Amino acid sequence: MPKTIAITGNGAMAEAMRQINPDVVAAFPITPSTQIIEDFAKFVADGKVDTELITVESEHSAMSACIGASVAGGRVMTATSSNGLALMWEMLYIAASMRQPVLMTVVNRAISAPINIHCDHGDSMGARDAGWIQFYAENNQEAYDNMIMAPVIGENMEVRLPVMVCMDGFIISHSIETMEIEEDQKVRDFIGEHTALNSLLDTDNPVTWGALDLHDYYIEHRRGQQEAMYRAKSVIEDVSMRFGEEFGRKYDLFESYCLDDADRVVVAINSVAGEIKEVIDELREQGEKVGLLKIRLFRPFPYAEIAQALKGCKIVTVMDRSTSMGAYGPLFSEISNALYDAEAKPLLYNRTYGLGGRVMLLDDIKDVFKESEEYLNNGKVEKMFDFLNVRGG
Amino acid sequence: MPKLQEMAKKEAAFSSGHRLCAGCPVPIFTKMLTRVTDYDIVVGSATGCLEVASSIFPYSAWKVPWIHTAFENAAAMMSGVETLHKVHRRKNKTDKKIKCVAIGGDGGTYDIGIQSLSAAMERGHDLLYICYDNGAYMNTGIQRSGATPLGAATTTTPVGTVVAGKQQQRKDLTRIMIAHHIPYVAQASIHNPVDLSNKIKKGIEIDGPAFLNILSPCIPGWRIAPDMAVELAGLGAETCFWPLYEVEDQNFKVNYEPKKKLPVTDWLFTQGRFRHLRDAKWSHLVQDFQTRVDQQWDWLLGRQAATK
Amino acid sequence: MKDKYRLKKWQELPPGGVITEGGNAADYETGTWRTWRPVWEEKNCIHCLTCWVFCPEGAFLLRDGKTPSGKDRKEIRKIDYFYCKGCGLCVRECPVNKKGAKEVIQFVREET
Ligand SMILES: Cc1ncc(C[n+]2csc(CCOP(=O)(O)OP(=O)(O)O)c2C)c(N)n1
Ligand code: SF4
Ligand code: SF4
Ligand code: SF4
Ligand SMILES: [Mg+2]
Repeated sequence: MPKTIAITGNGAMAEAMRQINPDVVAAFPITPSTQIIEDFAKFVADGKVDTELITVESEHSAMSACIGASVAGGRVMTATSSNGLALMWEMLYIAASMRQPVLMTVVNRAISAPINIHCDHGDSMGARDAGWIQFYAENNQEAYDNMIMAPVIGENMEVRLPVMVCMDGFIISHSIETMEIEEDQKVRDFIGEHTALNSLLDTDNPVTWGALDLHDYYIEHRRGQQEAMYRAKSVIEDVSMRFGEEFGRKYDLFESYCLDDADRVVVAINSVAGEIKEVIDELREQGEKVGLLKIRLFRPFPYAEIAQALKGCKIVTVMDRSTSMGAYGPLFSEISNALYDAEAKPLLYNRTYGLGGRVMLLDDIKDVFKESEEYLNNGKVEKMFDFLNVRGG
Repeated sequence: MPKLQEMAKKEAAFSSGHRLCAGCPVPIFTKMLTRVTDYDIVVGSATGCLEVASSIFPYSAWKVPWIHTAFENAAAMMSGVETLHKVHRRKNKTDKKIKCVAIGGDGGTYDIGIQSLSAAMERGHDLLYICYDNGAYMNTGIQRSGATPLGAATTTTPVGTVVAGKQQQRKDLTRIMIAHHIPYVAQASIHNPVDLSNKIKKGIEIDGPAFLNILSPCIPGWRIAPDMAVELAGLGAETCFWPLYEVEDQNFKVNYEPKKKLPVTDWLFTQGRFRHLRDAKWSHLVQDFQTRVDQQWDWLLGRQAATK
Repeated sequence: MKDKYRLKKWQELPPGGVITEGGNAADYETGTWRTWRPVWEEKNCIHCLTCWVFCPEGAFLLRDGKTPSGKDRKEIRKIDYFYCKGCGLCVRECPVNKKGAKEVIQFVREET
């Protein structure tokens, strides 16, 4: 039987790590992900896991040690946020291109400068092209569930890619919510044993990892990596289905909330979805045809499936909690890519919100829907791109 | 030399067919890695000449398991490898005892990699870190590093009319590593294979972290003929620019004391990168160079005497 | 060139850029770099292995032999010109060469 407990998002991720019981964890503290590593260190100290914890001197070394241990044939994990993820940047690409199924929690936090410890998605969005599978989560239950699925997906022989499980800093990482923690044994059975591939520690079969490619091979290796990402999508669908059968919580590539008959749709990522749902419930009672498409999987991005889900809606507001300076938000860019081929294109526009932890109240969300109603009534989008809740307009 | 006979019985860790420059002395020590010990070894390299020239896809010169990921992280990366081996031993997944070796150039070690090196040593991994010091970033075309000696011409410290080569003294990384109080720290050179092989063996076989700094002349970087690497390394020891010594648990042992210490000019003026220093205009640089070498040599002899 | 070194399609490559055959650089010829050729003659060789330990290309091939007093030892067999880059290090460091009276390894221009 699963245990229903009240726990923070960080606590839930530490629980997932305890249950996964990886061979090696290498990590470095940074707010708001620190507690994950502290909790895990306690599990190590209490003998609740078999893991070796490497308390490295930087996130760059954390990822380097993770890659080393992974190439050596182990299941490895880490966690970070913000500038920590930024410091890993070089190694994120290397983990992915070397096709190492490293597992990492990213507790989303704004990137400096100005230094700010609160939530936005600038950190993980900045890493979206590194070649990691990226999951996002509305609450601690989803983050935990994503992490339980992560090794099964990343270590699949068709995939062999690192997996990043993202959740909102403080809003989720530090808030206590009730959720279900599954039984250790059931989780371990679901995940299974880690299988090494061309392990560095197999001294009888010496392999060379990390060779130099000239122009004659680099693009072929990248092509193969892209294919693994394509294949990951169906593996994720499959693993999510099995997870649903095993644990009763059903996950698709994204979540559709009141989407079927919706005219006005908001597309959003992570915790804000909870508030949006609340507002939708209220507006639906008043007869408004509003809905939400909540992103779960950002890499690989499920273009066709999302286009299909948005079919029939009339206006789409894409809410980005990060910026791509000089361009539309990263989520907006993907949604507009997805809709490029759609027969009847909805009106589409982009709103940036919540940077550096700027709070979105329910009324702010209502304003979002109010605006989309106006745009729809006028038949055109006034402002394609704007910031919400910013002084000075 | 019985030592060489012994080594000749074993297979090299490093194959022929690599793409290091003709006369590059780096393979002198990479070949030895498996010849000095019965342990199985795993090697990890930092980006640099050795890494590039030994692993041009689809060819690898490494006959032992080998990994490279980046420039600044060889020690951190190998911490991960070593730690997983520890897990395997603890869980009885292997009965082998495998030894880990990280290798970086002076750039990857003195400069960009010093943070991860220092931390890995402090954490106490069972890891030998080998730095091959050729005195500059050679792989990217001879730029100065923290190991480049005073006065040397590099592409970022060129000889001009008002400035002649590098204006700073090199840092003494071996001493920095001694300050980590790890079980074994040594300096060796490619010209003395017996001393070199002893130190590689000790470094590999000792339990815990070890650091070995190897002087490794560079053909284009030092502007020397392709047959000169061994001779130049030897002069490094004869002038005491590069003393051969080892420190085991803070006990100092100088492995070679020249009968007559040669002036540093004997070393400097056999290399093109110091050619400009013959001009009297820069004699103060040569003076400073000699002073530093003398100071370090005296310090070393003092430490040896004090820890006997 | 051996078929295994034909340029592969991306589908044929193992994941992650791994090279599964460590030491296969031995299939790569570096002897073409040579402009000078070391020529070893056994007559004056004392089989001290100095050339062998220093040669960066591992080009000195060994054989089993005996010392004059009958003990087992490894001896120089020949120079492998498939690899020798002609750096001249062996020529310079051979102790017999160094003494100057006799020459074991000569250095001659490659014929072009
Ligand atoms: C992060 C990063 N910065 C810079 C480089 C470019 N780079 C590659 S090798 C190298 C110099 C290597 O110097 P050293 O460590 O002394 O080795 P050597 O080439 O001299 O053997 C540099 C600057 C890199 N690969 N990665
Ligand atoms: S540049 Fe120097 S260190 Fe690099 S391969 Fe050539 S000789 Fe060796
Ligand atoms: S160094 Fe000279 S004497 Fe010694 S083995 Fe080689 S060729 Fe013979
Ligand atoms: S010339 Fe250089 S590469 Fe050729 S055998 Fe002599 S030492 Fe080796
Ligand atoms: Mg260098």
